[in-house]
Parts: sequence; structure tokens; C-alpha cells
Amino acid sequence: MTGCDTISTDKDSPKILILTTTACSYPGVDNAGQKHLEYPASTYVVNVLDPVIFPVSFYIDAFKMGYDGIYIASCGTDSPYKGTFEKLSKRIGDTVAEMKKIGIHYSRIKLSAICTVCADHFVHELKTFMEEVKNAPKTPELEAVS
Amino acid sequence: MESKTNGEKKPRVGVYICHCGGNISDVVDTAKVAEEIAKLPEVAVSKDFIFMCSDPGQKMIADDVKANNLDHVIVASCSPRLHEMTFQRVVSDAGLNPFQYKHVNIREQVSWVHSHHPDEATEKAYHLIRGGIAAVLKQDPLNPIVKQMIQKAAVIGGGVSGMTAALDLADRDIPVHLIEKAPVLGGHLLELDRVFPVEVDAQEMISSLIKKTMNHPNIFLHLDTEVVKTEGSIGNFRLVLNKTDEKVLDESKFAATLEVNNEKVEDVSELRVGTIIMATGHDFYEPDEGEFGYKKSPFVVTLPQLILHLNNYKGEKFVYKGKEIKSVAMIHCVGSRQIEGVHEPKNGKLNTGCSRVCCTTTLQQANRLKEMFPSINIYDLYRDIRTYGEQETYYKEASENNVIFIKYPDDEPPEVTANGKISIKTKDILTYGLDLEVEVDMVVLAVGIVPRIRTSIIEDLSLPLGQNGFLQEAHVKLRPVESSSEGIYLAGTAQGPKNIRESTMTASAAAAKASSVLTRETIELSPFVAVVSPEKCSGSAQCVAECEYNAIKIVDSGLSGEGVQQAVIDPSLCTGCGACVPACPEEAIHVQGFELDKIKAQLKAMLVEAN
Repeated sequence: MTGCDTISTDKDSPKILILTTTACSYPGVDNAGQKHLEYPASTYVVNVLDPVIFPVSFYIDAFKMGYDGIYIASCGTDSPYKGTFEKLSKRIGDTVAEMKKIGIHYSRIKLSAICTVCADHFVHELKTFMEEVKNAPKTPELEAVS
Repeated sequence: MESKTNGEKKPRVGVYICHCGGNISDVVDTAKVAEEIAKLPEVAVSKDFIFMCSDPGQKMIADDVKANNLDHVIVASCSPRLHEMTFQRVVSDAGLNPFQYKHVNIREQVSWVHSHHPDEATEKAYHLIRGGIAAVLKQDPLNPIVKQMIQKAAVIGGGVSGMTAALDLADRDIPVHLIEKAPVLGGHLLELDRVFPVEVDAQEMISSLIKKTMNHPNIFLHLDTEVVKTEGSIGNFRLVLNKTDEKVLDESKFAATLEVNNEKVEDVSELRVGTIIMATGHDFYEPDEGEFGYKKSPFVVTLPQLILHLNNYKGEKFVYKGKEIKSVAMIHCVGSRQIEGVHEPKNGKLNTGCSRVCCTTTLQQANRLKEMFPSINIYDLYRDIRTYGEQETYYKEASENNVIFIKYPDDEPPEVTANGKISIKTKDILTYGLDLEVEVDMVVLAVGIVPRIRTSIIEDLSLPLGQNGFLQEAHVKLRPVESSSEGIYLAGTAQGPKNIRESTMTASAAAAKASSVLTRETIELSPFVAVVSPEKCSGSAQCVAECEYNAIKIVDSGLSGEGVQQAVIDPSLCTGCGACVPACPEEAIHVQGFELDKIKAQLKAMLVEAN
């Protein structure tokens, strides 16, 4: 299945920020391309060594900029960096708490683990996440980021 | 936007959009993207071309940098994993810093995944390039960290992997310090008879390796020695050594290998080396008392105990502890592939992984018993037979030797009762769940491989461990023998269960990786490390607690006045993970190349619509 019939291409498709890691998920997302799997185009990959680098305010600012959802494709417990996945998990918990305070629904952020060859898993998870974001309660007007 | 590099008010960015011979341009309207990007005020040149990575493509970029006085370059093409370094070299040769270049992936992450939606793909390519421009304009020029290299290696562990790695390095004229806790070299191989899959004589193999190791002029031995403290980083590690009082269990079994040439043995308390290879090996799972009857009966033994007993065995009948053994049950997966709720955790942990070698070793020993004592009855109780590759011949041979196979369910291990006689009750999947009970003279437990984590290096250098407690590689496929700490390499079963062939392969790979840096007088390290902004740092030390690599210290800075404490980061210890960044209340730390303001600028720009 190419997926062309199932891909939403409308202008209202949620804008998803995908955070990837050099060691695991960036090659995994590339692998989806190598396999010519399809997913919606309103997806924007930003790669870092480890998403543990981001403070809670970074995620909130991304929502304020206009991203409808944030998908964190981490290395999970396979992270080459000691202790970062535990720290990242806690950070996302803190982010969800902060999101709740300003009215952003928790389903708009997802922490996942994507390996270098997790192409099918990534595409399946991304599509599911996009559906969840589509159906999430509307976010109130947020102040713009300077 | 203001350039971070030349201080000019108006940056001059060159943007190059690759067709990839149609791989991109069949979906993305590259000409249209180039046209739209050209309208941006910071863009001086915007072109599309059939193959940017070709010689004419590279030449075009280099010529443009010079002719148009470009200060930043973007290439939108395939994944950066393919050609980022190609274009960094091009801009570097043209006079720019390689980090004034940004690679944008519009093939794997655009044209190949949105091939049925060319309009959306074209729009996305435009947005990603805008994000790339915003990011590169916020990027400071970066330079690799240059460090002197002590051109000597340490190999920790004198088993088959450690010796193989040491010999490979020594053959490349690299001095090697081989450190072994025991008074002899050889490790677990000393306890084996034959090595599968080609039935090499284990003692001949190990004797030959030991002889070569002992006689190599570039190898310096430290037997009876352990590393008690490790400091430093790639290029200059300091190892503090201490003598152990570890004893060989039975010296008579290892007589050949005990002929140690004492002139070769170094007696020093401190070493300085450029890299370390961890070949610390493994232990065998020790069953709990009563687990499958272990220690309840002297005739319930582990597989390594059986092998040691059979080595050099001369009798026509199989006698163990005064009793003739006529029937043996061999139970697989003891201490491996453990399941929550079925098996008891040891030290709070289950060993969920497969030990890879026990199935083949069990069947090898079953065949050996049949060869030595043809009338012996052998029952093989297994969950799955994992004699992968050419090791499948052991399974075939065992079947031909009339070994009786019983497949027990994963969640119903056999029950062993050892009150005088040994009785085993089990369910057999091969006979559609029939309940079986057999009496045997001996039970052999195919115990798994568990990590041997007894060295202080792991704690001193904060080496990460995987889920099952073995040393974790930086990447299972892309960097399989490297630790995430620069200069530390992994060999053999220290990294996970392996047979001897696989262990020696990883040892040679680790030695090759280590020699690639040891043959240089200086090394260049990635510039992607954390740095502190002294004007912001108040010395709160919250970053210190977050760093798992001991890369951050609080010192008297001497910059902002006497007695002012500030954080400093050792770039050779920093992995660039970024855990310290959000910890700083003053936002005084950033990871070079991954500055938050740069990433935020990229995020913002990716959402800006074309005019």
C-alpha cells in the first residue's frame, strides 16, 4: 500500500514538529523515506543529539509559534547518553503539567522511541498521533513568541 | 537577520536545490522553490541543479562562494547522512567555516514520502529551506577540538577478546598495556575443550594466543592486576593499578598457560594511555539454591561444570562423584530469556536476553557425551533451539545421536525434584502438551551469560550499560564497538553475549577503531560540546548534578573577580548530550551547534508562508 489514499493533504492538517536524534530516530525517519512510505506533509523534522537538551519552555514556545503537536522521537532506553531518557521522560511530564495550566491538551505531545530501522513503526505512530491531535480539544489563543 | 559570522548587516546566503536526477525534482518543483527562495532578502544566490554532489555541482557552489562573496551556504538534497560532509568540505575549501553550511533533507523526508502530493511536497521543501536559512544564520563558526594523543592503548581483560585486541594493536606498532585480574591469561577459554562451529581445540587455540601475546615486543602485561581508578579522556587516560589476590581455581588444569615469562610482566602502579579497550568478559548465571534442584543434589550441575569435568576425562563409563551416570537431562534457558511473573529476579533484575551460545554449547556437549559414552540417554529440554547459522549442524547431529528433544512452554519451566533420585516433570509441546515425567542420574543446567561489571572504570568514566547490564555501544549498527565516551572501545562479551568467533571479530574491530586514533599525534574531536557563557554563569552548580560524565566542575573563575565560582566544562569529557542545558537557571550553558535560539529561529521560519 502506498498510502496515497489514506494521507490527509488538506490545509487543515495539523502542523507537527518532529524532534529526532542523530543516533536513532533521524536515520529511522530517513528509513521511512528509503522505503517510500507516505505520511502527511505538514511535518517538520528538527534533529538534535538528544531531546533532553530542551527545557519545558521550548515546547511551550513551539506551541505558541503555531505547531499543533510535538512528536519526540527519542532513542528510548537505547540512548547512547547515560541517564538522558529518564530525564527526558520526567521533562515531558513537567511539560504536560505546564501545558495543562495554559489549556493545551496533553494529547498534543507524544514521547516515543524510534530506532534506525523503525520506519513502519514511526509512520504508524505519526499517523495515529496526527489523528489524536486533530481530535484534541482546541487550544486557546496563546501569546506570540518574540 | 544578522549574520553571526562576518558582522555585516546583510548576510549573503547561497541556496542550492538538488534534483537528485529526478528523485527530488519528479515530485518537488525545484525551479519554483529556487525562485521563491531567491526572493528572500538574505539570499544572494538561489539555484537548482541536476546533481549538486557531482563535480560540476560542487564546483558551481565553490565558484559562487568566491564570486558572490557568500557567507553561508544551504544545500537542499538527500539526507545529510550521505552528503553533509561533502558540502562542508566544499565550503571549507572555498574559504568558509564548514559550520556556515546547512544541509536540508528534501529527498528522504520530502520527495520520497510525499510522492503522491507534489504541491504539498514543494511547499514543505520551501519551508524546510527557510528553516535551514534561519538556523545557519544563527550559527557561530565552529572548529574541532584538537588534543594531543598518547599513542599507547590499554586493554582491560586478558581473555580471548582482550588478547586478540592487544595483538591487533601491537601488530600495528602501537604499545599496549594488557591488564588481567587473574594470574594467567586466557579467561573462560581456559575452561573449554573444543570451540564451535569448527571444533578447534580450545587449549591449542589459547596456548597459541598466549604465546604470541607473551612474546610480542609491543605488549606489556599486568597480571594479577586490576584498575582501581580511571581519570581523563581520549588522548590521555590515567589508570591507577592495584595488585589483586585472585587465585586460579585449579592450577593443574591450566599448567600449560601458567608458564608466565616474568620478564614480560610489568609492575607499575600508574599508566597513561590514549585509548582503552574494554574486554572485561562475562560471568555465567549462578542458579539460586533449589532452582531446578541446584545445590539440592550434587548431580545437578551447570554446563560449564560439566565441560570442566569432561575435559581430560579418561574412563569408559561416565562417573561423577562416585556414581555412574547413565542418563542426563539438559535444561536450556536457565538464567536467560527470563519472563516477569515466571522467573525470580536476581538482584532485582531479570535477565531477559538470549545468551546466544548456550543452545549450541548444550548440543555440542550432548554430542560429546554420546561420543564418549554411546549408551548414555540424553533428554534435551528446550524452549527454542537457537543454533543459528552453521551451528545448526550440532542440532542435526544431536538428532542423529538419538538425543530426545522435549520442548517445554515458556511460562512452564520443568520441575526438578532432587530427593535421592532426580525426577523431572514437564509439559512437552512436541507431543501436543503431554505431561511427561523422567528420572535421570544427572541434570545439566545450560546457564546463561550475565554481565561481569566489576571494574571501577565503568563508574569512573560513567560508561552506559544496556538494559541487561552489559556495556552499551554508541550505536548497535553504526558504532557497534564504540562506547558513547570517546576513546573507549568494547570487545567481546563485555558488550553482550557472543560466541568466540564473534568475540574475536569485535575485538579486531575495536582494535581497528582504536588504532585509527592512536596512529595520530593529535586528534580532532567534535565541536558539538557544551560551553558556559561566563557572563551569565552564577556558579549555581545545578549543571554539575545533571552531567553523568563528570565533565563539569565549579572553579574559581578568576574572570569576574576573586572568589567567584563558575562552571567550566572539559570538552574532551563532554558528549554533547545537552542534559545540563535546561538545568541552568541563568541559561548560561549551550551545546555548540545546537543552540536553543538557533533551533527556535528554525522552528519559527519553517512556519512562515511564501509571499
